[in-house]
Amino acid sequence: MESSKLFGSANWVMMLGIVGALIAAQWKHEVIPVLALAVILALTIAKIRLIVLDFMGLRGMRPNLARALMIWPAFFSALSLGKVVLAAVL
Amino acid sequence: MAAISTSEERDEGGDLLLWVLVWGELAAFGILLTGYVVMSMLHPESFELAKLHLAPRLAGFNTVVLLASSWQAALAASSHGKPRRQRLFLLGTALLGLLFVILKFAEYSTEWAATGDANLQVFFELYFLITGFHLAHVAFVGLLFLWAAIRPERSTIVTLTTVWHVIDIVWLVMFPLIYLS
Repeated sequence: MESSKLFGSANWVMMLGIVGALIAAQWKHEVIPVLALAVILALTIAKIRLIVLDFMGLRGMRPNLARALMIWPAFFSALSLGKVVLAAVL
Repeated sequence: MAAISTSEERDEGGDLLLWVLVWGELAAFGILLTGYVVMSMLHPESFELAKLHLAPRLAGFNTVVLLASSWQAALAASSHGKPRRQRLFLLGTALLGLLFVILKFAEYSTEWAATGDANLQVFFELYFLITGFHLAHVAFVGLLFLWAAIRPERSTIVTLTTVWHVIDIVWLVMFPLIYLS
């Protein structure tokens, strides 16, 4: 991977991480808003795509393996979001 | 974007070992997190009460620390042929991993008092099991990064970095599930 591209991608992920963590930190002891959680989950998906497709080199090479690796965190992230949405609706 | 290490570059044995490691981690944490979700549905009030004793601010900061360490690890893996730079990035990864461990123990110290409450026992048993298992991974692989900084080898660095990213991803999934939802 070219260092400059890696640096750029990492910067982007880091910024998302800091923003997500700061947003999350504002809601200590309260139910976190769905939007804040969605930002954090967007970071998770972005990071996973970056790692699986680019770092592990699975882009266009082993689509089933890449899909399986991305489904694992996507499943638990969807569960987190689902719990918060349910709590907000009920 | 080109990959750090393609499947062709790795020997078959190393490739298999890496995937066994990656899927072993994902399976183990998958079982633990599923158990956590099921128990949180069976004891919703107890889990909500127990979460009031957690420190999400500290955990949020620890998320940034772990992301920064993964970034250092990725830079180390991409610094092939530049041993001095590579060693610095490997050391940076190990030190940030150590910082994560220290912060997590600081977090545990604020939460420990609540574990005596029998109503919160189910939550805290699962909480310490899941986060403790993750913490053990961070501490152990962090030490391996320190060792890799002393004796850097490309295949070792690629394997450690991949496992470190998996540990990082597991935390990114655990953090909203345990602390925020």
